[in-house]
Amino acid sequence: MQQAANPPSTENGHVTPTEILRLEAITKQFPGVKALDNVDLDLRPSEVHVLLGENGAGKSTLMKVLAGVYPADGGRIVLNGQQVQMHSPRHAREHGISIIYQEFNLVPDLTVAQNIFLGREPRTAVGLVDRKALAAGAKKFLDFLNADIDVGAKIHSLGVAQQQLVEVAKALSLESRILIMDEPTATLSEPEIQRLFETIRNLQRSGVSIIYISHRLQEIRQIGDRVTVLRDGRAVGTRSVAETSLEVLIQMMVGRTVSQRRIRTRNTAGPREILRVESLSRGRTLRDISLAVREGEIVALAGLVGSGRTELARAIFGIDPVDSGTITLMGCTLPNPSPAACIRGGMGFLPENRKEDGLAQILPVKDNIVQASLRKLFPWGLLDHGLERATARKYIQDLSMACPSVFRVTRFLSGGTQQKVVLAKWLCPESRFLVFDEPTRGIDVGAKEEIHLLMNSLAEKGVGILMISSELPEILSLSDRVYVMREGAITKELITERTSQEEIIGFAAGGK
Amino acid sequence: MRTPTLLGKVPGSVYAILFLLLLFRFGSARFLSVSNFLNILQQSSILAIVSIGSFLAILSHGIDLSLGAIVTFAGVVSALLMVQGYDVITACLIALTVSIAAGAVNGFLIAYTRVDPFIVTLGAMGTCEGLALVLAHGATIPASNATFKLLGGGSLLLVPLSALIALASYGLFGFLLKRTALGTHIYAVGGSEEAALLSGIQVRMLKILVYSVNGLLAGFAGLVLASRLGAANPSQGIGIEFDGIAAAVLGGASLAGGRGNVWGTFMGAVIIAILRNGLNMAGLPMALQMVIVGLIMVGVLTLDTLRRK
Repeated sequence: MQQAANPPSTENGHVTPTEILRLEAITKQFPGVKALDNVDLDLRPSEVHVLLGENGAGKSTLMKVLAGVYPADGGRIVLNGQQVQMHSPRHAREHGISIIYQEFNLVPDLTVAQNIFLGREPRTAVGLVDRKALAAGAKKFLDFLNADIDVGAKIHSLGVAQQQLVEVAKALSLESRILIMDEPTATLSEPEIQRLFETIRNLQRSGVSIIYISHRLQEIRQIGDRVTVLRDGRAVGTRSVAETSLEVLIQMMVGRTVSQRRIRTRNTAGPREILRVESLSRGRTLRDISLAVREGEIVALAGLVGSGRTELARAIFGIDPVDSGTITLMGCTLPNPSPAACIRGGMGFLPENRKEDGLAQILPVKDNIVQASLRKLFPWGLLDHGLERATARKYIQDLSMACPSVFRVTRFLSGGTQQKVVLAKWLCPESRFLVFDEPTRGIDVGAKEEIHLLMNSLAEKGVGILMISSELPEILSLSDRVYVMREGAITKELITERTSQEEIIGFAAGGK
Repeated sequence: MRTPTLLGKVPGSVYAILFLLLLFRFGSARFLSVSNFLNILQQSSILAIVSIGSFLAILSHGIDLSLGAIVTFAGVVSALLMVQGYDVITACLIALTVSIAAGAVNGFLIAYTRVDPFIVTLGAMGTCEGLALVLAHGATIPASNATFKLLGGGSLLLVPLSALIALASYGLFGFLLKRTALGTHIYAVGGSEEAALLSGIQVRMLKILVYSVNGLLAGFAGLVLASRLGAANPSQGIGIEFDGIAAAVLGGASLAGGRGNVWGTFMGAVIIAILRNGLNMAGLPMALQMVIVGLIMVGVLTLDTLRRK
């Protein structure tokens, strides 16, 4: 904490004695994307350094480079004044760097103690596991964390917060000096978050430095000493948390407002409601959600990863059961929402990971296109291959897919064309309401615009669209209204033409 | 400590055994006699030994379909060698070595090629069965050496030697899995291979070890079986791998890996042996026995799954 008062000296290239770690000009290229572009970061002893940025800004990639998961394509890692290479996660751990992912790396059927010392079990003279030493060692680290956890309990019997503490204890037992935590509060309740912060302050006092990945603005105030903002794979800047306002941080995250051509030139929303959701709740992921989409309207669902947007879409499409609430499709309340019932009611769903959930990758394009309309095309249950091919050809032409033949195996198509195949799959049964989950994720710029134009023309034909997007420019360019979600609830409804990226992210991250 | 009641702590398999004992008591008066009990022990010993192997494979998130074929193969090899004049010990050692080698090849392929264990061991099953047929020219080979016959037919203070061997194996593996780092690591690999790898565990070596040990166990069971029958037939081990998998799963092992313990598997093997024996004594034809074993297995597993929710 005391370090935070010093002004940061990130401009010059010298290694100041207050640094334990410095990342210099880290660059990482993935096929088609520059995930990290000359990123600098320095870490001081006993500080909590927050890494802030929107989804896809490069936070996790940067930390995976540091933890030895990905090799960097360029740049240096300087640890305690010496340049080091991180060859593997194990190698990084030997350098005292541990990472705790959102998905924990614990073995569910082993005990707490066994997990903490997995691969490094204390042995007795004859080579057996020294169970007393194992339990005592585990207890020592858990006691240090003030964690009241039975060291003999199996991991699967523990809650998320307790499992997280076991991960922290494991990192401590590895004598880690640098602990990376990837969105540690994403699945915790409020009291659990406060406990975690206490733990973090404890670690700080004992000299551990923490890199804390987050996009929750309120937390940063509570726990961070300094903050580095990443945007599109670049470090925008490093600031002292105490001296920086949330507004500045939001602006750094979002960047200069790029004047962008709005694709949606006129609002074609009609009077009739196509979808109405009333007080939908599901455990802690969805809380009392009500919304409506009218015919010819494009409604966006904004929010951070983990805010419940995908869960909401899945619930609306009847994939996951809900605890309470109703879904009304074109005036008919669905008694038992299921994907089959929703499709019969005229709904279509374009999932986020179209490769796994949207398409049968090894089947020809024609099979995917007719998949959701077999009953409509072939009411007698007998396939008419001629009709099947003709139907597929029609959509390949209508959506101008880069697909030479209806027999082309789907996985050989580009991301953009695959998304068009998914779209065709839902146009074929003449869906009146479509849910797009991240419609252009992983799609290159040209194809992106094509998809946007297609969505717009569908709306002009009266189709209602609910679109989940993590890309604010996409929301601003394409939607008529925006619902902002945070922690499983809708926190704000906005009219797109009268809002801004800053306002949306403010509601999504809880800065306002 | 954490289990609320004794009733909940006892695995479903124990209730199943008690239920079956009562049921068959009404079927045949002789069922609950000492001699029949010893009989069941002897009959279950071979399956019990093989089941350890089934369990180990499942525990490490794999499966081993080659066990039955290795049982056959080891019996044929040992019997052939004895017919050709080798002494009992040499014949048995060679048969066991070949069995371990077969298992090691499985393990190596699974660890390094990442071909699914189901496919690798299915291939090994065909290969070993075929080899046994070729070696035996499709015929049954006598194994009438008196020393050899002790293994499967001898007894100590009335208790069959083979049952003692099976129990000792369970004691050994129970200890290995619960008290050594090696055991912990097998659970870790099955529970989360990624976490095991990141903890510095030699996952590949461990898999090779597991399947090699399986070869050893199956080979040994093959010797016991040939000894008890006094002959080696190139089809006598067929299907035992499925009973082994059934025993492990009945005993609480999860096909997703990382869950279960070796004594549960023992219970599972005993259940299957009791079922077979009891249905036999009740005079049911073989075909109907299979139907009933299948139904009971699905029933017990459904109950166990529902209970865990």
